[in-house]
This record gives sequence, C-alpha cells and structure tokens, in this order.
Amino acid sequence: MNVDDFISLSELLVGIPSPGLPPHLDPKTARFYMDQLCAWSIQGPFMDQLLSTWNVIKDQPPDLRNASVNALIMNDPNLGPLARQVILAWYSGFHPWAEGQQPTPDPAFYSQALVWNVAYAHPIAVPLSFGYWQTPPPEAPNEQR
Amino acid sequence: MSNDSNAPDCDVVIVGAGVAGAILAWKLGSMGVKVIVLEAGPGKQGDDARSAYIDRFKISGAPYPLRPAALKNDDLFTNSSNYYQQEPPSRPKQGPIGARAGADDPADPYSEYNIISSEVTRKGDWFQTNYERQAGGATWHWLGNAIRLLPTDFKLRSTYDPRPPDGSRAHDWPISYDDLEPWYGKAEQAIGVAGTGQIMSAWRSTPYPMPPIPQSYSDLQMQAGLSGQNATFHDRWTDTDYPLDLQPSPQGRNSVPNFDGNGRPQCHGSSSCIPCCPIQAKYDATQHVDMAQKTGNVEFRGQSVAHQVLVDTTQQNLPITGIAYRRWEADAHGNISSTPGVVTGKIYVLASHAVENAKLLLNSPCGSITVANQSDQVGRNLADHPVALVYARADAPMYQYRGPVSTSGMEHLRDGTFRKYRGAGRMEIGNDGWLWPLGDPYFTPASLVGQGMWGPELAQAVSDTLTHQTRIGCFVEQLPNPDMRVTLSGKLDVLGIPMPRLTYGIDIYGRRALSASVAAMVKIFRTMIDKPVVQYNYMEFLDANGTVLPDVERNAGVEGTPNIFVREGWFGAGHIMGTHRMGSDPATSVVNADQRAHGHANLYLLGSGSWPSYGTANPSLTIAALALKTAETISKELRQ
Repeated sequence: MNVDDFISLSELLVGIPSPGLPPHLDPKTARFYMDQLCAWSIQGPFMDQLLSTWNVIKDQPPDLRNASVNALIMNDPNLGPLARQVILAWYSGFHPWAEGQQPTPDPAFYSQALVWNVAYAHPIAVPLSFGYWQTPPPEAPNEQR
Repeated sequence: MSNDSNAPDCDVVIVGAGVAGAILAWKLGSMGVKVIVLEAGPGKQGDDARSAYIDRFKISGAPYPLRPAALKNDDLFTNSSNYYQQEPPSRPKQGPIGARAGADDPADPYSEYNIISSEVTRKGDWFQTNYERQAGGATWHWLGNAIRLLPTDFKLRSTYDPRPPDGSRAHDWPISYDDLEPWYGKAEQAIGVAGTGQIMSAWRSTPYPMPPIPQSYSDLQMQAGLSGQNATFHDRWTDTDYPLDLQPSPQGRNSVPNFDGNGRPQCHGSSSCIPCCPIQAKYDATQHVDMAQKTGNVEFRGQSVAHQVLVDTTQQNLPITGIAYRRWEADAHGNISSTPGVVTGKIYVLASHAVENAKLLLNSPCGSITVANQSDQVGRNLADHPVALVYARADAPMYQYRGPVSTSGMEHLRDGTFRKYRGAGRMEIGNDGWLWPLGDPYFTPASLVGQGMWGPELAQAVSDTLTHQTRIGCFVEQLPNPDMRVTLSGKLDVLGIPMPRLTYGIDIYGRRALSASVAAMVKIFRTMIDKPVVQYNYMEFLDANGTVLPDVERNAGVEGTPNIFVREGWFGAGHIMGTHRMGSDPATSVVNADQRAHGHANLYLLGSGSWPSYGTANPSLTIAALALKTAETISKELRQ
C-alpha cells in the first residue's frame, strides 16, 4: 500500500483545496491513519483495493475523476464505508465520535483534526492569549467575517 | 500529635478536600488549628495529572479515571451498576402536564414547550449529574461561574410561597442574603473572581477582585441582535415582560496574572474549562490544598475513604468521637487492598459533597436512628438545576469553540413573581458550539459524510455549520421534594462500604421552569434569526456517532430549513443540593445556620447539601462563602 496514494485520495476526499484547510496533509499522520484503519476497521482489508482503484482514476480530468470516485468508490458497498472512515479520521483525529470502533489513539492527533481548521477555532488546551475570543479569528475569510 | 493516648489526633477532622473542605482546612490551618483531612481519592496532584487528564479526554472523552475504591456517579456512565440508581418515580405521581392544584392554580401556559414527557425522554429521568472524588473535588471540572444567589433565593417561601399540585413546598434559609453578603466578598477574594456590575438584586459591599473576563465575539453578536430589537420575554404566568440581554458572568478565572500571589496565570482561552484548565488560570481547590499544607498545621490523608461517623450515645449531646475510614491501595493489576483506621478530633466536619455526606451519615448508627437524622431529612430533597438546551444556526458566523466555555449569562429570569408558579432559570450562553447537545465539532462532519458529502462541498458545509453554531442552556430551579433522595443500597463497593442509591425526578415546579425556559430561549433565537424555523430533536446514543432523531409528530407541518433546535430531554448541571438541609427547626432540618448538625455539638456538614432551596446560581461560590463563615464559627468555638 502506497501512503502517497492514501494522501492524494485523502486530500481529494476531505476537500483540499478549500478555505481553512491546509494545502497538504501530513505524511506521518497519513501513515498512522492508514495503518489504524487497516488494523481495526471492518473494511480495513479493502484498503488495497481502495488505493488501487484510486490509482487508476486519480489522473483523470477532474470532472471525470469525481464521477469515477462516486461510481467506483463512494457507491461501492465495501470501498464507500472505508472512504468515509478515511474522511472522518482526518476531520475528527480519531476522536471517539469517529465512526466505528476505537483505534489505538494518540492525543497528538486530536490537535490535527481538520474540524478545528474549518471552524477557524483550535483544539482544546492550546493556550493562546488573553481576550482573543472577543474578536473574529483573523484567519477567517473576509466573506465569512 | 500527642503523647496522651486519650488526646484526639487533631483539633478538627475534615472529610473531603473539595472546595469546602480545602478552604476550611486552609482557613483553620492559618489560625493555628491542627487539622487532618481524609480524602477518598488521590491527594494533591500536580501539573502532570492536569495534562494527563486532558490527554485522556482527547483520546477517550473521559478525563478522570475510574477508581473502584472511590466510585462516583459518572463512573462508566450514569446508570452503571457501579453506582446504583433506583428506577425513577413514575410520571403520574408528579401529575400530568397542566395539572392544577385548584381554581387559583393555572395550567401550564407553556405546555407546548414541554421537553420531558415523551416516551423517549422518559429514559433520561435519572440523576444525571456528577462530582469528583479526589483532592480538589468537582472544581477540577467546574465551569468557573462564580455567581451569588439572589436575596429572594434565601426567602423563596416567604416571598412567593409556591404551591404546585405535587405538594412540594419551598423552604426559607435560616440566614438571609444580607447575612451572607460579607462572606460572599471573602469567597470571591479567596477564589479570585473576575467580574463587573451587580447581578439583579445581589447587592455588593466590595468590588470584584479582578476586572471581568471579556465577553466572546459570539456573546457580542447575540447581544447586538437582541438589543437592536429591544427584545423582551413575556411571561404568561404573570403577564409580565422581562428584558432579554446579556451580562458578563462573574468567573473564578484570572483576568489578571497572579492576582493573589499564588502564581496562577491569566486565562489564555484554552477552551478547556471542562474537563480541566491546563494552566490553572481557572481556580480549583487544589490551590487551597496547597495553601493549607503550607500552614504546617494540616495533614492530608489521600485514598482514605471515610465510612462511618462514630458517636457516643451515652452522653446527652451525642458527641462525635471519631471517623472510621479505610486507606486503600491499588496494585499494578488494579487489585485493591485496604487497611482500617480511625481518626479523632475535637470537631468533625463532613465536606464530601451532598451525595457522599448523606451516604456517610446514613451508614453511621446513632441509637435507634443514624447520625444527625432526628428529622429524617438526611438524604432527602436531592436536587439539581436541570438544564434545557436550545441551539441554533445563526445567520452570521459566531466563531465559537474559542475562549472560555461561557462568558455571559442572561440573568433577568432568575427572579420574578412567576416563582409563585414555576421555577426560575439562569441562562448560560455557550461558547462551545453544539458540543453539549450533540457532541460537536465531531457530530457535524459525521452527519454530513453520512449524507454522502465529500470533497469541497463537505469542507464548505462543515465550515458553514461549525462557524454559525450557537447554544444556550437554561439552569432551572426545583423545589425540595422529600421523595427525591439518597439512601443506602444493598450493594457494597470494593471496600465493603454500601453504595448510595439515588432516587430523582423533575418536580412540577421544575418542569414548568424548563418549559418556560425553552420558550424564552426560542424567543431569543427567533429575535436573532431572519427566517426562524424551529425543530424539536432528541438524541439517542445508539452507536458511536449518536443519532439525532427529529420528533416527527411534533415537527409535523413545519416548513423551511430548521435553524433553531430544541433538545428534548434534560441534562444534569453538576449542582448536587439539598441532602442535609439547613434550618432553625431540628424537627425539619439537619443543620443550623452555622452548618452545625442538630443534636451533635461537634459535627458540621458543609456544601450545597445544606441548601434548603436552590435558586439558580452555580453553587461553588456559595459553598465557599458558607465554608468561610463556618470556619469562623469553628475557630471561635475552639478558642472558648
């Protein structure tokens, strides 16, 4: 299994590029999520098939590629649930609210959950500065502010 | 401490090192009084434990580990067999919605806002609130609101005399707000409260020790939406209008670094007040554990579970002669061993919170009854401030999940002539999005992915939803009800100590308060939102995601996209009250105005268990004020 394929598929599925999201996903975190999903997810055994399917379609033109993702991955009874778990791993940092059973968690990944990025917020227990909460987050796009 | 074998081990024995016990120990220790504190859970823990709790929260959602020798209500989950709860009383006993006591008792004019009567929400009719058994107690995870009770909270019966049809009646405190006001000032100084302005009729003789914690951007947006329309809430019980506006909440967190010389920093907005502040900018009682130890007069005995109050029944004034306890250890495999002990003093203070105080007393024989229970009120009148939640998607971004969990409140509905008919409510304005009602920010991505979204459409939808979230919780007032109570169960914990059995439900006064509060919260969001559409939801934890289930019958006919959500069912507030109530009459109360147990000259019971009625203020500040008042009483007594 190629972690680069896992990363490129993940970046497409979570919505990169989008406002608030980082330009790229972290390879170390990607390896952790991939390994954990293989280890504990009921659909883990389909990870090879998921990445090989992605490898075939990833270089298609965007419209065709997106249609292929829907047809061959998201609507597939085995690959669809696994792809959704990939998305939620990145958004939730494997928080207990993530779908399915508990993987072996690491508190460090809590802070990397993409929910904090798109909420223009921050994970708990990150000391910032007194009173910052009185004004909108400076990183929020102007149209939101 | 003495070569005389008949001499007591110390002057004062305190059971429990939470906010009441720690402040009392510090105060007495600083006056030269020799104190021993028994703490059921671990003793003083440092910053390592603080970060470990937060890490545990991040990976499991459960910050504080299960300790079999010091179980509490939230271990594993509310209905865990580790902690026994009786089936809740059936609804008919409380009367149907709209039940009337007589011609002058009107039916509930807010019955369409009722949130606790569907079959599904019946399942939630358990005592849902929790506490902590370790040095520092529940202040590890208190929100930090340091709010005074109102003068009428002390005189509910004589001011409004509510007589709801379930027979519940209010009780006045034997002390007034004016009596406690100086102690409130001292408690605010001891805890370190940041605030501004008088809250309702709670007059002040001293300023707040620190300037206020800034209100959040979300608070300011909500306030702008309300004040722009001069919003009011029309109370249908009394045909009276109440203003709807926000005030900064007085908070026990530092707006000034190291304001009292104890080294605690200024609040950095870690958004982690619950489960615990990572930098101790928020007060917790471990500060007073430290300060007590530094006096050199206070010994803390951790992992020491008090299980019996010993009494000499041969003497007329029934003096307490010792506290029996078990000192426990857990080996690497979690196996518990324990050794028995007895500690003796001149004066004994139970400060182990309303459930554990009651359990300890009920497990302590005293002739034909149990200690301090000549009134048969020990354990009775168990109460909380049940919480109704309404949450909304605002028209403009609110940018929550930033800063302290709450920085503002809506105070006007904490008092009024409506209290003749229904309980009051205090609104806590959240900065934590839909975390409380739904478990966000994790619920929203799970829900949207479950709907088939992925890619930029998903990222945009998650962002739009999370940035526009807002939430209000209303903490309402119950009346004392003798059938809601702590008793001893037939189950024993690993130390062989009977576990408490809790019987709890929402009385009519509280239920009416919940309905009116939902109406008020819906009114707030209707005022803020251009095209409001209300939906009633309940939630079941059927799987790891939880499932939000719209109340289909109730939502029938609703058109448009819902943006105001009423959460059916109610939540516990963490405010455990009423199990050893204060009063002048030994026949109807357990402690007197000094929190001294009727019938025992040398026994005091501290904490919100002493409250005869409950108001709507978060209890910790009042617990601290009462502890300081009792410290003076005890020190005078020891000097005599």
